[in-house]
Order: sequence, then C-alpha cells, then structure tokens
Amino acid sequence: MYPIISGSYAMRGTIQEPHLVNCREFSVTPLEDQALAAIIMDCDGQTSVRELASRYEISIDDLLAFLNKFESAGMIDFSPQQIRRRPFVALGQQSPWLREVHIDITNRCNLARWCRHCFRGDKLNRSQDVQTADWLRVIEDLSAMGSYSVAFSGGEPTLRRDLPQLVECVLKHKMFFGALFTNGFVWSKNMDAILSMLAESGSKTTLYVSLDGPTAKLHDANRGPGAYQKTVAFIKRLVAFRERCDAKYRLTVNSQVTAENMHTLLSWYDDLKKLDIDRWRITSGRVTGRLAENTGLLPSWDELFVEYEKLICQHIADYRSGPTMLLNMESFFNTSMLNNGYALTFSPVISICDYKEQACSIEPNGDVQFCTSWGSRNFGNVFSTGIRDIWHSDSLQTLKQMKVGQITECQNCDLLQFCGGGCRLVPGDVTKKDPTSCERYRRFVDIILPLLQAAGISFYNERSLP
Amino acid sequence: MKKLAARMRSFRVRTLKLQKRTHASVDMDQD
Repeated sequence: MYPIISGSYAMRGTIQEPHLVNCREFSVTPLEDQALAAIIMDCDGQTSVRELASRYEISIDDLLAFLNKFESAGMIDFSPQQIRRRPFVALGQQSPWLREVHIDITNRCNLARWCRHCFRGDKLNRSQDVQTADWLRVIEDLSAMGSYSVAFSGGEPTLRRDLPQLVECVLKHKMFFGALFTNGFVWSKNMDAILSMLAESGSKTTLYVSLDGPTAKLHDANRGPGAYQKTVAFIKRLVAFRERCDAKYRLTVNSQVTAENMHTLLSWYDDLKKLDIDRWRITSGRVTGRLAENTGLLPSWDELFVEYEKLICQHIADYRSGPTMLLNMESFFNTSMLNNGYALTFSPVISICDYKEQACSIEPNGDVQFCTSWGSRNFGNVFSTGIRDIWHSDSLQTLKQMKVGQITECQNCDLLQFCGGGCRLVPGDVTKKDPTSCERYRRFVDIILPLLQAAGISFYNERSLP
Repeated sequence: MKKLAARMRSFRVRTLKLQKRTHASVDMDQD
C-alpha cells in the first residue's frame, strides 16, 4: 500500500508550523509535531507503508493506525500501486505563517463615479494596473512561503481581462481561492471562465456581490440608473449556474447599511431569502474614503440598533424553524454563533483583530497593508521589497502581535471583552480607544447581547471556555 | 519527549475552527 496526501489537500504553513490544508474549502489541520509532519510529507504515493515504517523505525501497525486517522478525515489516500501524482508541499522558512492574503488586483472600477460610501474614494481609475506577470509572481511568492487562502477584490476585479489567469494560478498552486468581491454590474466572459474553473475544482469560494438596497430606487441612487436590475440578474445567474453545474461556490450579498436603507432591513432580508443566496453581510462600515465626505449616509446609532434588533429577532425565529440564509451583522454577529451555541469574547492577551493576525492585504499598486480597511499605512511594496520581507518586518509584526491589553485607554472598560478594542485604524494612536466601536458595542451589549443570550448563545473567553 | 510511536498513538487530527468572537471579521463566513 502506498499512502499519499489526498488530491484535495496540500501541506502548507511554515517549517515550524506545518498544516494540512484543504484546497477546496477553508479547513486547516495543524501538525504540531514536526517529526509526525515529516511522515505525512513522505506520503508521496511512491513510498510503501513498509518502507515508511522502516525509515522511521516504527511498527507497521503503529504507522497504519496513525495514517488511518488522516484517511478517515479524507486527508490521506491509500493506493494499491505506486502513483505518479506528487503531493503539494509548500512550507515557508520562517514563522509566523502568512495564512491569508486579500489582493486588490485593480484600481479600476466601472462605478467609480457613483458609490457614495466607497472606501477607495477618489483613488479609483487614477493609475495603470500592474501587469499580469507581476501579480502571477506575487501569487507564486505567496505559494512558496506557504500561504494558503487568497481573495481578490479591487476596484472591480472582473474588469481585469486576466482575472481567469490569476484565479487559475491560485488553484494550480493548490491554495484556497477564498473570495471574489464584485459589484455585479457587468457579466463578462470572465465570469463564465471563472465559474467553470470553480465548478471543476469544487472550490467553496465565496462570491461577494454588492447590493445597496431592496429596490431600484435605493440601489440605483448609489450605483447609477439600471444598476439594481443588472445586479439582481447577475446574482440570479450565479445561482442558476451553480445549480446547473453542481458548483460549490458560496454566494454572499454584501450591503452597506446607510441612513437611506436602514429602515428597509426586514423587507430586504425577506427578499434576499427568496434569491437563494447563502449569506447576507451587512455593515455600517468605517468612515473613510467617500463615506467621510457623505456623512449624510451615516445612520444614527440609536435608529440603526432598533432595526438591528428587529432583524436579529426575525433571524433567530427563522433559524429555529429550519435552514435559512445566514447573516453577518457588523462584526458582532454571525449565524455560526447560533450553530455553535457560543461565541468568544476578548481577554487582554488576545491579539488585536486576531482574525487578521495571520493575514494582510495588498493594494492595487502592490503596497502591503494591515488589512483592507487600514489604507493610511503602508508596510512596503511587494514589487520592490517582496512579500516575504514585508510580512516578517518588525513594523508589521509589532502591530499584528499587539495585544488587546496594550490598548491603554480601554483597560478598565466593561465593553473591551466584547469589542476587543474595535478598529485600531480609527483613533490614529493605536493605544487609544476607537470611539465608533464604543458607540457600536455599548448598544450591542444593551440591545443585541440579551437577545443572543436568550437564544442560547454563551459568551466565553479562552480561559472560561468549559 | 515521548517516543515517536507513542506520539503517533496519541495524535488526534484536529481541524482548527475559526473562532467567532464578538468582534470578528465580517469576512469570516467559513462555518
């Protein structure tokens, strides 16, 4: 018998922190013991169980019992003959692991003169896109350093004619193509090519489509005449293609909640359920870019949370009555909290934005940022310095590893366990409080938290987890 | 350190869950 890492898995991470990762969906299995990881890496379809046992001086029974644990999880296959397929192993030389990267592959946007909330503001359509070969090299560099998940956004990423080539490169390197963000305004040949690739690969990529309201009047006010009709048709086409081709991609509608649309949330939610999408993601956003100029769009916190309260109640009722569309509300609620029955809070030793501790984003010109929101700080350019050196630089890692307890202004605040300090971009000084987070989480604790607790969700930090 | 065979026997395949915190990324929709 010849064991081999399954075709839908790869070994990624760093030499110090190797992981078996699923190339089709976000799933990461750490192999904390490097000697054990070495055995898995040697499951290459060329080496028999007997040879492996001899190489590591262990009994065949022990080896088989060990490998069977991976086989039952779908991570290792056994072949009766030697097989030629090589398992994919890519480990970075140095920890920490850069697990996820969000790349804004273009600065071009076909709706640049519209969206009044766009965080890129007037930066769009101001510069030439970088060449295909340059992005391909970045993807290859990421693969070589063991990175796992890649997302594409922009600008409007579907405007790049080479988008299928970039997606193909991610899939070819057995990374997970995590997400594509689009305004869903134009269905180009690109979309057909990408969806075919996703269908063929079985990738559970999330396609995010932006919608700014449940009516043409609301959406078109922000995206231009006819946009609503086009985008809804775009979403329906994605749904139809998925069904026809048995593709596995996920569909999320992405919405900015504003003063104009917040009173429609309940009826909007009902409309979206009929579209057969997987998830609705709503946020009032960071006040940057155009939103900082169009402050009339900002909802009042009190009015917004009245609407959020109604929506959460409806969503919990739907959840209890059977499978339903999933919901992400701001950064504080996700349907999986209901699935899990618990959510984690923060303690002082948790990293700020711990969900981005192993991630960064790359701007259309190659500048590396802490995340897509933190546009005012550049840690170096991938085309001149290279992603490896930037990722491991002191300036970026100092921030990535900053702890919630270091936000000195928030140390005695009761909200800190829930907000984790909010966004470190907002205050300018990373040790100061984020006032927008204070507004949001005070109402979260007063209004949303009791609803979630009544729905059976418990709140723990790692120390108090039962 | 335990011998390799003992570590193999006690090893459990543990897939990391992305922890949902009360301040999490709105991109975290891998359930």
